[in-house]
Amino acid sequence: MSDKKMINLIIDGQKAAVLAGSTVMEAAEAIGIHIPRLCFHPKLSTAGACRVCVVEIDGQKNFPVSCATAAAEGMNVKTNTPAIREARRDIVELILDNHPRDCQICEKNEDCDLQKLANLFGIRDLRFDGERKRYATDFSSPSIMRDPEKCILCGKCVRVCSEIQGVNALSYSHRGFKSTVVPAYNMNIKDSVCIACGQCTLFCPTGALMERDYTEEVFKNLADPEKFCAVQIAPAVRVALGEGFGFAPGTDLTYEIVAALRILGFKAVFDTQFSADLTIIEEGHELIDRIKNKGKLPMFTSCSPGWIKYCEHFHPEFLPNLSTCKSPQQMMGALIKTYYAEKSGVPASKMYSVSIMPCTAKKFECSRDEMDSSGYRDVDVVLTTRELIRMIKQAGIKFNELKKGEFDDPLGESTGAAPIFGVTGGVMEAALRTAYEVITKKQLPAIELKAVRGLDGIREATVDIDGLKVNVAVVFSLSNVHKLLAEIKEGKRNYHFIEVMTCPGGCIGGGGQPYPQGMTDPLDHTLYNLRGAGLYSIDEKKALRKSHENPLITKIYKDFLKEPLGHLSHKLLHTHYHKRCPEGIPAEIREKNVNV
Amino acid sequence: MSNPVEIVAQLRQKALRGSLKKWFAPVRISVGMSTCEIAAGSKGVLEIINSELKKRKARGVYVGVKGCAGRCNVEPTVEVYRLGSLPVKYENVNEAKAKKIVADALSKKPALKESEACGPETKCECLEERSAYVFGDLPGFKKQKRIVLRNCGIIDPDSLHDYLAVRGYQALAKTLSQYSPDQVIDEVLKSGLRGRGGGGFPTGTKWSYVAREKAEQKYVICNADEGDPGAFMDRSTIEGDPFSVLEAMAIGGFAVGATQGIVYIRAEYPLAVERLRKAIKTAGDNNFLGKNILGTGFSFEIDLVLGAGAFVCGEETALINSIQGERGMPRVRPPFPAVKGLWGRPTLINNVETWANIPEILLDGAEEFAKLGTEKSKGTKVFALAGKINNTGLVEVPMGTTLGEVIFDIGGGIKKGNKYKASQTGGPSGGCLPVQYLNTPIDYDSLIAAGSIMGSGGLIVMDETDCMVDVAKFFLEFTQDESCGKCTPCREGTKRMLEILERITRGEGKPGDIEKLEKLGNTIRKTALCGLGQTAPNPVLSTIRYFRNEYEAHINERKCPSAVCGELFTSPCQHTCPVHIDIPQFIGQIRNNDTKGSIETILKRNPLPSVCGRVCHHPCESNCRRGKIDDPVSIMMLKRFAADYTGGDRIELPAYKGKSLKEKVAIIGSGPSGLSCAYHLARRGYQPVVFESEKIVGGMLSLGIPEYRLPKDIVERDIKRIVKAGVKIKTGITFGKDITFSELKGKGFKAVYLSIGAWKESRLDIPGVDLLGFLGSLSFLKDYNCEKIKKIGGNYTIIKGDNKIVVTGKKVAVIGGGSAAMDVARSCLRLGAAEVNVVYRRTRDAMPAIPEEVVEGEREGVKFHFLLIPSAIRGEDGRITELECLHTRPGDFDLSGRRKPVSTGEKFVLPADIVISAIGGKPEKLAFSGVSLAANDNGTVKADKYSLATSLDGVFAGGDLVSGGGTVIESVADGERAAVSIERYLTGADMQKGRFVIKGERKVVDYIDPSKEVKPKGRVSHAKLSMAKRLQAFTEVELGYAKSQACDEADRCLRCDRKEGAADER
Amino acid sequence: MAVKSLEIKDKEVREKFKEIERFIGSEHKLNDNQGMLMGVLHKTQEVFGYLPAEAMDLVSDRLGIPTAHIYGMATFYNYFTLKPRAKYQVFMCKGTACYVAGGGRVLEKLQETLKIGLGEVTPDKMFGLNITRCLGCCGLSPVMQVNEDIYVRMGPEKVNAILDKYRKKETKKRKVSK
Repeated sequence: MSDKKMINLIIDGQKAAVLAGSTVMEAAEAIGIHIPRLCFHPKLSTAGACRVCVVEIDGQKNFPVSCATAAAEGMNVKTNTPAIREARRDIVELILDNHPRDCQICEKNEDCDLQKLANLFGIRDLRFDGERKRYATDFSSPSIMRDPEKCILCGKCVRVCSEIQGVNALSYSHRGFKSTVVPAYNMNIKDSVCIACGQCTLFCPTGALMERDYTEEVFKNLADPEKFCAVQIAPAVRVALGEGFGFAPGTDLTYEIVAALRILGFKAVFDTQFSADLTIIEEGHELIDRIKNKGKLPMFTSCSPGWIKYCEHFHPEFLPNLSTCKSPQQMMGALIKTYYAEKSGVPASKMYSVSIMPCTAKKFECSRDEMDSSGYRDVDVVLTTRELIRMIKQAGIKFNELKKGEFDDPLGESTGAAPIFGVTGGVMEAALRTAYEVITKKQLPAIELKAVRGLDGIREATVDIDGLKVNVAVVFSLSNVHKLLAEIKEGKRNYHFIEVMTCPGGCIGGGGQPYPQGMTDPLDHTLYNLRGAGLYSIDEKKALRKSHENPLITKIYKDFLKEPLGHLSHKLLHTHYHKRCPEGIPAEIREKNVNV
Repeated sequence: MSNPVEIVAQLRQKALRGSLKKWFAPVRISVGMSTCEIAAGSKGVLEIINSELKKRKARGVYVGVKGCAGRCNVEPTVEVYRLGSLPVKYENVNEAKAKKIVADALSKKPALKESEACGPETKCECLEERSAYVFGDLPGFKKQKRIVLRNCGIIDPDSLHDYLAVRGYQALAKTLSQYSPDQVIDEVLKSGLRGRGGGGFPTGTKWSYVAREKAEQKYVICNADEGDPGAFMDRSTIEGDPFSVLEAMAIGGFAVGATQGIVYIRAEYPLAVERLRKAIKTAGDNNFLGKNILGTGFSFEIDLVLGAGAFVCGEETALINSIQGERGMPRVRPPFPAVKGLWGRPTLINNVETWANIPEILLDGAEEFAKLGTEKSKGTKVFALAGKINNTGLVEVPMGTTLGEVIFDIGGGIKKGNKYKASQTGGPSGGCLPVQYLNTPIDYDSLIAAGSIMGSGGLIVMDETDCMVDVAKFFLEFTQDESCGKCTPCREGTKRMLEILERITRGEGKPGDIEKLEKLGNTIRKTALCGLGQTAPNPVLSTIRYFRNEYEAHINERKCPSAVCGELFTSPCQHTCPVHIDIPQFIGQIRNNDTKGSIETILKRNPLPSVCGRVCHHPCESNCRRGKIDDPVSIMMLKRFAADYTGGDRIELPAYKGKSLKEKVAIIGSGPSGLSCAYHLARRGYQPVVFESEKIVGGMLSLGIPEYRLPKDIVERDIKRIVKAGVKIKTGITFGKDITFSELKGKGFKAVYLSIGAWKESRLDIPGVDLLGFLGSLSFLKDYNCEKIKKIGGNYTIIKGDNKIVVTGKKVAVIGGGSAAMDVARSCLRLGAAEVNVVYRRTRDAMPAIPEEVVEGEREGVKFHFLLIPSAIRGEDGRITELECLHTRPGDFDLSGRRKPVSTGEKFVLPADIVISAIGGKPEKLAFSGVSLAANDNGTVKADKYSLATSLDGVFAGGDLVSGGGTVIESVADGERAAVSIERYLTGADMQKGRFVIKGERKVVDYIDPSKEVKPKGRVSHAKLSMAKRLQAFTEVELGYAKSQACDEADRCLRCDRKEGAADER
Repeated sequence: MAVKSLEIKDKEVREKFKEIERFIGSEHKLNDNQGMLMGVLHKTQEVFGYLPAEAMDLVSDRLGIPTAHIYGMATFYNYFTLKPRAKYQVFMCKGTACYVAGGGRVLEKLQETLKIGLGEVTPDKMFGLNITRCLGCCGLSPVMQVNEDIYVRMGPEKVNAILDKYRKKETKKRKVSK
């Protein structure tokens, strides 16, 4: 805005100048003072609820919160007086007084913001001990577990679920000391409209919302001589896992992870990127088919399971628009228990298929009833990046000293089109690389489609494929999706193909990714750009960068699948969707038949 | 198009003509029909009046309804207006009374006695524009000024005609036709009106903020979510005068440029909602709302949104959220609603009371309004009086009226004549104001300075039977429950504060708890998000500030001084008894014919039952639960019965069964405290020896109380029993003179208890006290009891060295209003005085003497002169002739909660031969050889509050010597406390540890069927000496209960000790 | 937890649903659907006597407001209740005046007599017991409310007689229906 002028103020004796409209917290940050906080997040609406970030401002009788107080000309702010320190300590202590005393056995130990603040303020004794809230932990969902006793009511999960994801699965309920954050009617997460994206687990400062941990189950199966454990790893895992071991975000550690997985005891290590290439072939053909045969358009990508569940709950009218392709994870799962089982001679019944994903919704996806086209569960268990980090640490593997490992044949080879599946716009780019050449039978003039890259929530482009103007859109965060769908319904937008990613930034920002380290917040663009850049550089380094050029893909069609969208593809690689209680509301009510 | 003012004037004429039958009915009966009136039974009253009229086929009687005039304590109320005559106001109307009212209305003569109706001298002003003085003649209304409540209890709330008749909608018409929006705001600014919802923000300023915002849509909100428990003026205003609020909102909308108004009203007020709904409809139908109001082109709509039971929605951002369909959680301000309010648009929010002022300001002008109140707080404030006050209900007073005026002049003082303790203003956000703030003028700033706030105007009055810790807990329970839970300090902090308070009131308080409360309170105050949180600690912080001793009593002594915190005791009587007699037990025994058992129960704690059955100030009775139904059980009289009926001395105490201990303990002074200490030591096996300087044993009991109240043989009876328990008493030995500390030590005494009382009289500082005939009450009573007053020649004569003062036939003036003054006055009558005048500087109800004694004295012939302060004693030839006094008038309130007497300068002369001053005493200055005992400035000895240990090792002190002047039972209690301390001292046990642990098993004497309903039944009265016999001699006046009477009285006991749990054995 | 117990196909339930829908259709919309929520929830409670989960589902669907939010609203405000009420809901006022005047002892007596705690309902569904914050009759404290009837100047000794009145009313009703 043009009328934005500079505001001058004093913070802790230092001069600060910020744009009008900035908060005191921002002003302090700008001059290098980090004010502690719990409920504040720069990408969410400001609640001003936890009161940890209180400061003293001359002329004000109480201590205002720096996150919600606008910087004003001539303001004299003190952020570190004894009174402020004491007030903050009291507040954090009050939270601790109503919090389980089980840091040592909490999964969030050492990643917990509350623990960090308690330590920061040097709280060594709890003076106001009293009644503590007691609630049962909700383990109903395969993806997310909720322990309301650890909830400190900062409300970040409620806000991210509503403002970023537009799902509104969670809300505050009751009030005062009895306040909790719960799904509607205090029902189980499993029965709620939760789409399992796990963004809340990234934002939760404590261990109140976390991924369901399956590490113990996986360890057990690895030790079982009767089991043949196969594993696949998703693109976005390889550029983020290193953060758990001190590597910079974006560092490509693909082969170190493969090595670690072997040490952990996996008999076969595959790359989900292979099935990503396969997805492009199937999905590309499906798109071409829909365009040519006047099928349902626009077509939406279907590799993000959170989006699928969202569509089933909230926009069932768009279900026919979803690509019927399974996600790469599920395609890989189906192939391991059929194609690979056949090749290796290991019976599928002995196979235990694990996948390492940046995603919590994948845990839900693999548990869907229809994901058993091989005759067995396509994928038996899904671990998030965070869980794998824990397993590597528990196994005592010196990750930083590992030698590179190699994927197993024949499901380990991929092109440059595959790694970028992990970043928003990547699926679209990969699909267009193949679609262009399949349709035109010509070389793509420029391999990189910069128009669909970036961290804007909704991006669109028109690609000229031999005179056919294909309108595409790339979108992430379901609140953006909601907007886009509304406009499509209104006829304001017209697309052929839309890539939808549930999580901000795509899988690199997935709900199962490592907690941001240091003072970085989830949703931090710098962090997501680094992880994204890691994937793009993997793409750049590959000799083959288009899925249809993957020789193993050609081979698998020749040997096994026969043709894209063929009978076996259809059985193993495609799926179907169904309406779910829309927004949790029974269909009888939803269908306006009460009106009759 | 005609002018809106003319339109409204025409409408008014039409309204009056249209309801001729009503306004000009020969008789108009108006029945209260508000939530409170209905709850009190007014619907039945209305039915009866109607059916009675029908039965009598009465003509020309109009029966209508009205809102609440605020006289809640006398509801249901009915007024009868007669054309051209005076309205009569009826209170506490029931079925029978309703019938009489009809009869009264139809005949010309009132069927009811005047005292049953109320004030016939009011003129019927119903058609006058200012209608507020219908009630003007009632004493509670004299200091009131009604602006907000101007029409409440006068008009029919549903009737637009009624509203038009009392100047309704004239302000809106005037505003729309004569003012620009800026001018309206200017008027409001000039009026000095501040927000009545609590904060006191200048209303005009708020309006101007909204007006200057540019927006397509603005909103005007009326906050009627009156959630403050104990405030109900908003309900009453809406129920009594809904149109005034609607009119005001339209004016507000015009001023700030809003076309949409919303009333956010509590769903718990169904009647108010219904009336408001109706009023909105009626106003809309008559073009006072809607499009093009009164043809001015201004349009304004009003919608209702019902709250749903969340106190925090009184906070404006929470209220806005609630209207928007959100959880009612406040948000950080700024931006203020004036800038970004409802749906992000500029919004003006005022509460009901604020709005109700607006039409009057616009109609009569800001200057007129600003004449009322103080410099910074203009206009009036409505208060909801509740609690231990006589006239509960709504009052409206000009700002600046003092708290004392509201409570005593308007509120009629404290119920049952109890002592004022504190008032809570501002509800859960406010604070408790103790007695020293009775002179505080009520305005925003003075209340804040005193540690409270104005709030929405709840004023809860508390007396000595209210526990301040419990009150603080109550308010915190409220805020804790109403906390929205958004911000940490309020959500978690108030819970922790409540837990600490609960602990304290359960008797589990710990040292440091008070400091924790203060610490948490301050953090919450500083850091909470909204007003609710920031003010939530106020009730706790203010009660700690003013009543820290009550907190300490709970924590350190496990004692609730007001006997409220139920978990600390089984029955309030036992808990308030300074020596913890198991009162329900002994009363139960009397009821069960086990009189012997009953006296044994008493003797466990109190060695002086015969004495305390006569002269105890019986704090036990003040908290007796029976008193909430009718009268408290006559505990003292029952104790006396137990003592007298068993003959006292015939009762053998259960013998001390333990090992006899050799340690000797010296007790100095044989008053109640010394005797009690000796008794309890003897019962523990020690060898107590009492040293008394007088020849008579008993101290104040024998020397300071006249025989007609406490006969000598009665005192002797109790003393005999004490001696029998193993106490040696040596008379005629003066401590410090005949025996010293070192001599006692030398004789093998291991510990000393000093209880020599307070015998030095306060000096009356006026000329003439050196004249013969001037005496102090203490020496007078002592002289009588020591037989220094002798009958010489048929005349009672006081021997003063060589001088003799004859009492018989003389005029005696007694100065003072306490028990000593009564003792002296009544004694003088018995000594044959011709005339006894008591001169007291305050009013009768401020006398500290027990009221029954004043009544008895008066019956015996004592004359009382109130509001007089002695200025000189004059005489001739060294003898007194007159007592000169100055008239006083009640001035400001002093620390005793009574009005300070202020001299008017006028003289009053009372002829007198003898003047006796009875204004209290203090201890003689102690001079002990060689040792110094730490003393207070007033001469009393310094002793530890709990152990009574003095600055000298092994020396303990109690009774009046320490307190400066207490009651008999308090002295007895000190004696026991000292005995416990001495035992601990001698055995080397810790002085404090475990001293106040509640323990003990009890056997409940059962005779009451718990399901039995209690039927009201007053106290059984006891016999008194006939008037004819009284003045002949010092025969005892009160004669006590016969056995059957005692049994009956004992039967009144509710046995509140029957609950489970520990007994109050300490 | 809200009670899921309504048989949606039940005719009576459908009638009630329709009533709520009609209300939604007729209500003055100030700004958006959410602005109608307070009014609609009040109406729903009026129609059902409480807020059944199915009715909240209906409101959620017709107003387009997430169910989680509606549940959050329903549990935030004291006035809303998620459980079916007793025939006679007894409310003891816990305003300051009533408290100071000894309302606590009346409450004790109520609990003793009805043998239920706060927020509970007697096994025969006759009486429910709860506290309420200030009914605005402070001048006549302590105050007790049974459904629409308000009893003032209460004392523990009056409790039985009042409850009996309602018990008798019910027996009479039963007799008439027989």
